[in-house]
Amino acid sequence: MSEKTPATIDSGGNGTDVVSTDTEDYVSMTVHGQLFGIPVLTVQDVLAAQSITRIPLAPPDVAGALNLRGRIVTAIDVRKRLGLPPRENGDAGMNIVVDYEGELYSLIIDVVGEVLSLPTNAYERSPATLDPLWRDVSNGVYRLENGLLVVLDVSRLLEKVEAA
Amino acid sequence: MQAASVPGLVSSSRDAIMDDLLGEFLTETSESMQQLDLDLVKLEQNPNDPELLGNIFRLVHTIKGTCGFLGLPRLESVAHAGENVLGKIRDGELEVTADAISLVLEALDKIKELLAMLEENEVEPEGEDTDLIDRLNALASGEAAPMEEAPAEEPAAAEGAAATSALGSLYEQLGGEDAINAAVDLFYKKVLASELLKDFFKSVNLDVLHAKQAAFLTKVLGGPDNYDGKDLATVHAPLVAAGLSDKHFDAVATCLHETLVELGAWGPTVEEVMAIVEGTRDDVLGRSEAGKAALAATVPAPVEAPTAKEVEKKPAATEVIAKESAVAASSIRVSVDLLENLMTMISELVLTRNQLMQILRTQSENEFAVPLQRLNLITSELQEGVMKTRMQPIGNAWAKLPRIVRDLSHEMNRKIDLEMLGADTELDRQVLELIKDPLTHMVRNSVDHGIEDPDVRKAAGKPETGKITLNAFHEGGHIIIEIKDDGAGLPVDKIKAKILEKGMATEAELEGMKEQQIQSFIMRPGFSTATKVTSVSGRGVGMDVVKNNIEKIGGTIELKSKEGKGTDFTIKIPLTLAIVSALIVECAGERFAIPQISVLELVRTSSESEQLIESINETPVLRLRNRLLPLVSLRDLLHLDGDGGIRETTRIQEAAKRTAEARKEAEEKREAETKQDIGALKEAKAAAADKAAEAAAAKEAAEAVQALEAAKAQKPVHEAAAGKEPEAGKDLVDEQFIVVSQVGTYTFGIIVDRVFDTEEIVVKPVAPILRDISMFSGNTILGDGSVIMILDPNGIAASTGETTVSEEHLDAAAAASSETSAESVSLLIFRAGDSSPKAVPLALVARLEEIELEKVEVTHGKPMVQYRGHLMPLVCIDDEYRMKTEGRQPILVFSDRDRTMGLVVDEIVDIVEEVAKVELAADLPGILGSAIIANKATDMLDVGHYLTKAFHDWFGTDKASAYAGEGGKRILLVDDSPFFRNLLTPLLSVAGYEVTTAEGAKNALEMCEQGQDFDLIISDIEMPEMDGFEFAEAVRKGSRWQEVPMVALSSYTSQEDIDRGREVGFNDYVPKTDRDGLLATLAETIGISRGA
Repeated sequence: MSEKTPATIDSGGNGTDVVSTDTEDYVSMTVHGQLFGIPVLTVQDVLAAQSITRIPLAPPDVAGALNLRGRIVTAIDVRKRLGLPPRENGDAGMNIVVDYEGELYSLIIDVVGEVLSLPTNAYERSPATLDPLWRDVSNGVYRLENGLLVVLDVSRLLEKVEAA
Repeated sequence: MQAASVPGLVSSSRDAIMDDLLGEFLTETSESMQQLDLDLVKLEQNPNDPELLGNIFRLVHTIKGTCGFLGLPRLESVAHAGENVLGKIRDGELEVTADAISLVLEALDKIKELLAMLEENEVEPEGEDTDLIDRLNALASGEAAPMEEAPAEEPAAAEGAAATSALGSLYEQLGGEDAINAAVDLFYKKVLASELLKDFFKSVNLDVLHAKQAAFLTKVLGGPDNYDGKDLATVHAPLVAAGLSDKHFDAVATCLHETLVELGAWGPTVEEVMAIVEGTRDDVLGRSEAGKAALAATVPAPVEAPTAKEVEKKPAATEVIAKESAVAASSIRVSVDLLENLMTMISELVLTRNQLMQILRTQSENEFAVPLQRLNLITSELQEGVMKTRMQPIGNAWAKLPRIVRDLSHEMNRKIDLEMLGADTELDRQVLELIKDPLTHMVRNSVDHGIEDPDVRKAAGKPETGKITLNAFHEGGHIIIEIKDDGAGLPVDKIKAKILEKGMATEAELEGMKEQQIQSFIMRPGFSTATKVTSVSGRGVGMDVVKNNIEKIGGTIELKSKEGKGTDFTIKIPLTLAIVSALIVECAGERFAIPQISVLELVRTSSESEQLIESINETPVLRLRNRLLPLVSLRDLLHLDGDGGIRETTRIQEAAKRTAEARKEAEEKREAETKQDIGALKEAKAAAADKAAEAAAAKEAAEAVQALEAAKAQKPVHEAAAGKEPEAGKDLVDEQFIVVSQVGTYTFGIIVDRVFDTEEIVVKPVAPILRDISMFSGNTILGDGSVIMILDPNGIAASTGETTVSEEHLDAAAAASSETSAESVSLLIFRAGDSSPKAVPLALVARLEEIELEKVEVTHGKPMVQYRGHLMPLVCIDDEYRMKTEGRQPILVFSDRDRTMGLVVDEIVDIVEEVAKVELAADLPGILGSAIIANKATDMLDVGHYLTKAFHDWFGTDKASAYAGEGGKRILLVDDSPFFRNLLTPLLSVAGYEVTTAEGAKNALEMCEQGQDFDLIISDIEMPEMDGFEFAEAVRKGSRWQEVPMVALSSYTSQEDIDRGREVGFNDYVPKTDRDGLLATLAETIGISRGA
């Protein structure tokens, strides 16, 4: 997983680097008012609210399973995963489907935003004071004009669910 | 091909083409090797099977030849040495001994080893196998002069002499009488085909000649001497008389020579035979006076000697080759990946099809209906087709077993026969792969622990040779594999000791267990009875692993063992893993699928039905057929609803309370109903009611399924998450369903809220992060597109504790049912009209009522009474009978669906269990005859008569039919007892069937011959002359009723009988007393056979 964002980190780390990618593309999303992003290439699909089948006895982060064109996708509630309060009644959120080790997972977030091309020099490691739960699943932060975007590490996000 | 081959030919230009060739060679050779293993073991058992030998020889020869062609000298030399030995064996110079076979097998193993290395490195490994080759050569040269090459095509000249000297024992080598007969046959065919000769031989009695010829040959070849030689001269006389000349003799000789060459016979043999033939020339032609009589028949005789030998060997080989090439031309090799891929796509297609069909169902008019139907059909066919490509005979998984058994039995000095039945039974290759190892392990176990040493066996009065039987067959969408041995069985005492030692159970617990339960411990983890670890077992896998593997693929394993008699394992596995049939249930608003394989039956419970959930210390149980069935609540188990656990317990407590109330109520109602003070009657009736309710339960559940299906159709597509109660809370709150499931021998019930229909589902594995939830075996997408979890009954059983405290349930049930043997039925005794007691089978009576005569109304001149919102006609026992006009009068209510009829009686006397044997047939309408019941002559009532009296159209029209869809189906009822014939006929007619009766199996078979046709046959089992089993066998054995479904009807319903019934061809087995069960079975059986 560390390979997944090396371009970002490297070019961010040594500003003089001649790596052609001066910008990285992220799908932005909002969870509980916070802006998050995941690398655009890891995203398979973006879906509106789906009917989700609950899976009894599953870890609490697992919202259930849904049908994506004949494939069964396990849905992870990102709010729960990040220790955030549940969504307000009636708000089913949206789904971002990602591929992790050959299996499809859907991340349930509040709203999907647009794809942002972010300059690599706006990247920074997550502040040390961040909640360990968050630090654990985020690679770093982009400083945007109108706020901060936390980069989610999908594999870490899912890995921890598995351990739970 | 030249055996020495041409090694250098291609080795210089190893290129891509070569690699392809090599790949093909490897695939092909590894197949041949497997076949060889099998054949060699077979050969050891039948050393005289020339066909087998020829096959083996050919395979080794091919391997040798190909190795030479591909430039693989090391492989070639090993194969060559092996071939030498086989050649000698084939030529009768070497005897088939265990040592010889072992050595050849060793050579094969070497070849396999080399092949494996070759496959890995694409280069033949360096090295020499001189030791092995020397030993092979030594063996080969053991008797005859050392011959480096002895393949069929290249005989050494010296062989001729050897063959002559070996002629004395030729008879044995040829395989005795059969071979001789075959040879003679073949020769005559050849001769008769010849223009020159056929006229001669036409004139003689070929049968006589044939027999004489064979006898002569037998003598010449050193077999048992029963040849007298005299008649032959007479037989041959006409030939000589007809002018048998040198020309003819030459023709015969040429004929023979051709035959031999054609069969690819061995050079010296041909020459030798020709020499012998030449030597008989004078005798045959009558030129030698002395030999004239006796040797007149010699012409064809010596000719036969080699022919016989070749006949057995060569034609078989040529045939095989021909067959194979034909197969090769019509089949192609496809990679498994491709098929897997195809299967996945088909699965998706099936799901999409299901979705479309679902949409279609909700729309009555749709222009897509027709094309969708077509799509539906094609998809099904496609699915079937692709499934077929994945099917492989189970024999593939067995291929290694003979070799393993053979090696082991040699190693352990045991004599073991391995019998494999149903090797061509096909199943999905994925399943096949998964059961391969468990099977091998189990057979290994049988050899190691099962079969005893020969002397032990002898002492125990068993044949020295032990027997292991593998049997595979299809049964209801599953494959059953049986592994039986007649060995020592499982030693209960040893197992007990082990259990205690390992602390797996306490002595007290063991005390209460049955033998089988104790034996089942061998399938528990951490159990192994082998005191010493042999090379055979003790490989770190035990029966627990076997069990696990089988359960992983949705199968079950059961064991039956008797100490000293042997052990039977029965494995039941699904045909395919990809698509299974599952029951869809709902609990707390969530739907789940339960694989059909583990569902035994469905029971509906509600406060109004007879089936009630009761609880012992908050543990729910259900009385099912007078047994307690442990229940688990799916709601509790899966922690549905969050606080569901608590709620569920309260629910059950409430239910229990309701149960108690309901029971009390029912008691009261019963009392009110009958107002009879005869305690016995009450009790018996309660029992009968229970029984009827049980029988009805299955039917009820089926109805419920239908009803709920309808409900489901209206219900909007499943809502997301939201753990709300099923909306029908108010009227369904106390109605629950119990899915009675079986895991191994453990039967338990799963409480669910609702039951929908069954669906074919495509099992998909759950996401890795959910794998540790043992309750689910996978998930799937339903026709409506929603995802549902598939429950794993094994996991549920395991999580609820016990998996062994189990089979007393079944056993006791079986015992109970066999107690009620001998055609005894519950009869209701009553009086009506005259003073003589009358009886009617209780099973036919729906209720006993007492009516107030004031309420009787008369319409159309017939007495009626309002009963449960309907008009119920009242019928009197005969026309003279006059009802009282006031007070109360008991009536027997007969009912079928929405029709009821009341039979007015004077007094209800008793309910008795009696063997009803109608002794005197009566001419009176309404009476079947008389029987002795409770020591009194009693009239048996013909219920059918009264039913028609109430409703003229009770029989015959479909409208009256409970199973209207089956109306007009013709049923043959075979039963020797007139009582049962008369009892069942109205019953079946009422259900809308057209019934013909036969008094016995003979009678029925006559009807078969006469060309009568039926949609279903019901047969009694206990019948004089020919019993039901024999009858079924006769029917199934190619009669014109072969395909007609058959249902056995018997008072004996032990598991053994049921098994036997299945075996001989009955589709189902119903106890005689189970009236509703019979109807349900009929509807089902006819439905199935029609659907098929």
